[in-house]
Amino acid sequence: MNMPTSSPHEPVIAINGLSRRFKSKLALETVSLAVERGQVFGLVGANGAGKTTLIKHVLGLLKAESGFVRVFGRDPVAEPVAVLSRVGFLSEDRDLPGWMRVDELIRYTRAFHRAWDSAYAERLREQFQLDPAARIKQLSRGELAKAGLLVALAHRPELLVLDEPSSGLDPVVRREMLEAIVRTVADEGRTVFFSSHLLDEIERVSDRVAMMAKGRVVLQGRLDEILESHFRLTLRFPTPPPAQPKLAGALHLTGGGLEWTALCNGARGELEAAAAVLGARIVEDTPASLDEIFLARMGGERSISDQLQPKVK
Amino acid sequence: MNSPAAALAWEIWRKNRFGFLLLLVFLVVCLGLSRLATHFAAEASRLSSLLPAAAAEVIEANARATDWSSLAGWWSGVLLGLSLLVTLAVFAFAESSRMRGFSGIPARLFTLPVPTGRLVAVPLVSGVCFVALLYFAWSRLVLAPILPAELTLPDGYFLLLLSAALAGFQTLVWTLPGFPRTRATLLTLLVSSVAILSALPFAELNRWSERMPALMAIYGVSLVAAPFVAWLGVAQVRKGEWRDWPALTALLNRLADTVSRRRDFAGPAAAQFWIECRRNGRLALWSLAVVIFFILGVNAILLLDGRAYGRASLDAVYGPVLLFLVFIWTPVLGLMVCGEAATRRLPLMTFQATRPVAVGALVSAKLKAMLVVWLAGWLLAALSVGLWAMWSGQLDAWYDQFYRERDLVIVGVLSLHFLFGLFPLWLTGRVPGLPWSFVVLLIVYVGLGNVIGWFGRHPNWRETALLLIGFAAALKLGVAFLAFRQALKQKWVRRDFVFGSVSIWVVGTGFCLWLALRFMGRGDWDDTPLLPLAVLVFPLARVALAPLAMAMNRHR
Repeated sequence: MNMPTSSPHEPVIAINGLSRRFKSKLALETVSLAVERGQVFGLVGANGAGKTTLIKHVLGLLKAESGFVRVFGRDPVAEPVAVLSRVGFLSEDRDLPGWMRVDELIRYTRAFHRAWDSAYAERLREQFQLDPAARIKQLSRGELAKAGLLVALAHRPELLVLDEPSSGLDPVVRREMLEAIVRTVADEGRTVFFSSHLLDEIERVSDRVAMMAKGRVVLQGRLDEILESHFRLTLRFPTPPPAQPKLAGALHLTGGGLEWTALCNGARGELEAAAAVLGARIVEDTPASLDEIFLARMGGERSISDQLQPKVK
Repeated sequence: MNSPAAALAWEIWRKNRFGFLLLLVFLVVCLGLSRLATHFAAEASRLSSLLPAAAAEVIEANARATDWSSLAGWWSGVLLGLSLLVTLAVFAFAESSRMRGFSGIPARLFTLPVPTGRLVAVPLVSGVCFVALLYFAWSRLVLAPILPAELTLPDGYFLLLLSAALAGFQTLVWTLPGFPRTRATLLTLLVSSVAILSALPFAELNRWSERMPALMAIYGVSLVAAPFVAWLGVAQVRKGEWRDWPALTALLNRLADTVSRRRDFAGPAAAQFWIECRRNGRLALWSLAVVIFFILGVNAILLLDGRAYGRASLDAVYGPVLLFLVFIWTPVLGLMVCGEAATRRLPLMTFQATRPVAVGALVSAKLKAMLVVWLAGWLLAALSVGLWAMWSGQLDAWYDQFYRERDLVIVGVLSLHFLFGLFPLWLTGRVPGLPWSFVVLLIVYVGLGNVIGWFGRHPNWRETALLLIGFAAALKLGVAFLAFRQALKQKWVRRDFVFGSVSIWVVGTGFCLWLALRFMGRGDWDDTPLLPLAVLVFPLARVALAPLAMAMNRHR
């Protein structure tokens, strides 16, 4: 199968204005993002944010209602063979055929990939301690995830798509899985597009992050830039403010009495000036974690949607 | 809803609203047909008493009465059978899992503070009450008015049989979730036994009056024992002590491993063909073997008892095997291949949908697997009946069935038609799987049978029949052309898929036409509609639509 390779400068995944509705529920709303070659792209969001729906569009399992999806410059719905032969996928629900044996699964998957690396597959099988004679339905959740990762990795795909790879796994298996993914990227410079709601996992391995809420991408960028651009300011007021203070540029404000903490995303100088206008003094300026940024962004989303709700008298 | 029992009963209702609605629709439709048949029969009888038998009004009224009586009889028989199957499905109270097949009582209920006895009792008692009500509604409202006057239904017998069958079905489903093969075998045997036992009151060869009390006693004991067995079994499952039988499982796995795949596949097509054959074929052939073995077993008992002999003994095997093979096994096989046998679901698994092959390759593998398993089923049936014939000294009669009787060839071609059933519709994955799609298929075929039967009884409508057949043939070819063109345009299939399908259709249709010409030559068939009907039998449009349907399933 000689598939023409897309240009090295072209994004591996390009999504533009993608929307999708399931009956009355808007699952994706004008989502746009690009995943560059060699990147580890983490998709983060709460349950029901639209991560799996987005991944299904990338794999061509769902058709774009509006907007477009291109993987290696191709439409995954129109050209599934050209796209899927270069993709390794691990699904969240790990729906491998329960009646198969592990060795049958490996043999079966191998038939679809010319670039299948048997030695690598065997090494992974030994590393993951998978019994070749075991039936898939008899595997534990962790073993099932490992079996899924094995068949997703063994043909050395150019793009690895992982939907909640650590969902329901214990910390030991999670670490093993992440190490295998990281090695894939580090050794071979592959592209990884993965979703998770485990922020420490995203923080550990991602180069670039997109945060999703209610079908929309609310924030995306390089992980280091996101972390740098967000910080936490602790404000001290001379007297307790009568209501929650409104600090321009603050995404989220918590606290009470004299001391309030704001998670901010903006120019420090402007925030200091805004704090001075309120009569507050900045007593602490610390970097924000991805976890805090996520919560602040999600909180923001919630408050925006709350504002949209009609008021009930 | 302030008690666990009410909550469990509500769950049964809520999960199966569609099933209950279907049961009501079946009953209402047959009630209407039964009333119409009774009305037209009374009208014919009234006219016969007033006018001479040769009067045009009497002839017309008698023909109408026959039509409606036949219509009501057909539909009542089929829809009553389907209602009972739907009732079994509804009160099985099981949930399926993609990975592990279908469960017994959903394990999530085991974490609720409800005693096992109540978990078992609610679906069991409600199921038994419901099946009794269902039987009474059908017997009193639908069947009684249309049955011949000399035939009365033994209500007590059927009530006990159906209640015991449902309770037995539930007990097997709930107590053996850790033993899927054993459970599938026992369930097949149970359903086959109930079918045979339901026919006993109407059969001529049996000593009915002697047997009935003994059979009713057996049903009564089974009905009383079922709740206790179910309670014991579910209690074991709940404690986690009845999930597995390590020695037996290891033995069965070792047996299964002897035929596990040890060679690499030649390519994606071979791998895809293997997975389609493997995931559905074994189960399909195993269930067929179980039913054939059961039919042979029952006949062996009769033969040893000295009550069935000669040609009748072969017919007693051949008839039921053929009926099961053609009308139940074949369409179910077609349905199974479209989805997953273990879970009875039709949507494509993500694992399958993400294989890097074209839609046409997925469809080809399904078609090939379906045909191979179907041929294997026929071979299994032929060999089994042949072995029986050899054992009972009826080899000549068995030979006749194959070489001298045209019926078998026609049944074979019809069976192929049933195999494809509503193939494109099932492949879309957007309709429910077993048993619902099977119900719809049977209704479609019974409807078609009725229409063909009606035209057969009204020769003056032959022109219209020919027009309809011609229209259907043109529609079939038109749909096939458009569907193939679309599939080629979208690159879902390659030209060799189209070429292969059309070639097989040409050869198959040629064979059907040759058969039709032979029967016409013998002069024992009405020849006019035979040729255009022969063009309709072999599937083409459904094959052409299959890639489009599969694309709908894969890219939603």
